[in-house]
Amino acid sequence: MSQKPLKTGLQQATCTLVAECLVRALQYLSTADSKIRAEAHNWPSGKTLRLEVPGAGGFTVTGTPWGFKKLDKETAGDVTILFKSPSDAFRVFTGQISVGQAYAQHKFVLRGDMALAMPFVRCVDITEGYLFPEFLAKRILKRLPEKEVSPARVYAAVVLGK
Amino acid sequence: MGAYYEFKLPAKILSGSEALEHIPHELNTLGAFRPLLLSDQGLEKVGAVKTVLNALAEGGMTAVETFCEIPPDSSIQVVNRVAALFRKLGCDGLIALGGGSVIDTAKGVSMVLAQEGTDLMASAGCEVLPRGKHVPFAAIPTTSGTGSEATIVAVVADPEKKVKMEFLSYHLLPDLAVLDPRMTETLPPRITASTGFDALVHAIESATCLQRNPVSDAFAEKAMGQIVRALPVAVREGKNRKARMVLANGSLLAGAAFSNSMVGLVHAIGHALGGVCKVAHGDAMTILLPAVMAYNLRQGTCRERYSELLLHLAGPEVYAATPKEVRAEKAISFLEALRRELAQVCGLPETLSETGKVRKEDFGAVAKTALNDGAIIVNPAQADYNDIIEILEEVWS
Repeated sequence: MSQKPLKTGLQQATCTLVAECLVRALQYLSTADSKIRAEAHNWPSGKTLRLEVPGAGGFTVTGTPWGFKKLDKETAGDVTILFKSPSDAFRVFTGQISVGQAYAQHKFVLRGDMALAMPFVRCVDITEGYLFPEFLAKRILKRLPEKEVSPARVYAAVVLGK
Repeated sequence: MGAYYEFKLPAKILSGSEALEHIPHELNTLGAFRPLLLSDQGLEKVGAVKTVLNALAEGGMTAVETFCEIPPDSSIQVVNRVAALFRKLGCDGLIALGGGSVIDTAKGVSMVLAQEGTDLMASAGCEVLPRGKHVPFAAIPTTSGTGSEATIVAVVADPEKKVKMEFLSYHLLPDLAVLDPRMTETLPPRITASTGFDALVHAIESATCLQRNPVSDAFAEKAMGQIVRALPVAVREGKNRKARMVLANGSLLAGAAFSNSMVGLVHAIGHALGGVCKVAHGDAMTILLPAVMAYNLRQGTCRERYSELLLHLAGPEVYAATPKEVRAEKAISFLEALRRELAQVCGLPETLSETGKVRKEDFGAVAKTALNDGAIIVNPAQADYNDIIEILEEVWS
């Protein structure tokens, strides 16, 4: 029987952890950052987006007038972003490439209406602008988003989960 | 250029005189003997459908039915209706004769049939579907613009949402891309110009977007040279078969290029103008191209690449005579001059106001729709709502 390489296991664990941080940051910023708040507010009512990493599960979110909301772990997505491998997701979650670059390099497939995924992609870009150090964000983002709150507050929200 | 790329072009290309007559043999080898022919009423009226039926008959093939009710902006409903007809008649292959709308409809039909479904919307997404059941499929373009005969993309309208839906799958590619000079020589100058400019935009955006790769660059660079030289001739002398075939091949090459590297902001805004205001796709491309290139330059991207493209657009003499630091701007002004030349010959619109289809009040809806178009992801420069409004203002008049 083949065994999962240690590297893959570490990548999957990292993706699980970073995905949770990303969702928490997104939830916080959808109340603190006007651009993310607007995206959540304009989100088509009841529509869900799911992001999946092979072997590491995933998460499902929806936008509401009060911000982004994380849904039950197994909730299906009206649109699903599915990474082709854990190493592809790892590169995105560790800031080596942006979601846009991952799309350009065929790192994931997308099931459902792409137009629904676009607001999420914009929000992730803005969130990465807060979470990643500037030198890293500059390398992967086409334009650095204007920060409306201190990154320290975003980190605090991620750690405290609110 | 990205660290990783993928490229696929499995279509067999039948290009040149009497290419149509080879379709029966090629379809037979793919296992199709009872094809459904899809086209539109305009092509039926000018005799193009009859020409194809006669060519099929020469090879001993008869289309089970000829469906010519595909509108200029086909919809999900039309696709589903044709898929049901295909099943009802027991067809085993598809022949699409037309421009982008007809070929994209056929792609949608082939996708519904391959997935053994009834609704195209169930297949929405990007690279997500398995191959499914193979439906032999020949595409015969009657415009030299969309390059749809060589692309993995199908654009089909969702009239309820007023958007053009993009379906992306490697399994959408036709088995046969048939370029026959008889199919484009009756195309009016105005449509030749507009669709030709669309092909040029495919080449330029695919050669500059984030997903470009060495193979797509080779296709795109060859395509743009062929298009800029053949387009003015084909517009002035529609019956010039040589120019028509060079243009058709340029369009196919550009299609193959962008199919594997995608397009950018010109297309994101252009799709939105089509969805919201019904601006013809080629017209939108014509109007937007120089302004979006200038925008990309202002944002600090593309200077080196646009400079390189001057060689393929204007030729070695102009390239060599232009100082290095202004080659990018020269590439843009070359395209503006080409557009002006075509506008003078056949009335190609140069501004949005000239189309008569857009009101300034629509700009907000167009910008919002463009932001949700997948093409914007791979544009080299970031563009937000205000940037798109600025571009629309710039091309208004």
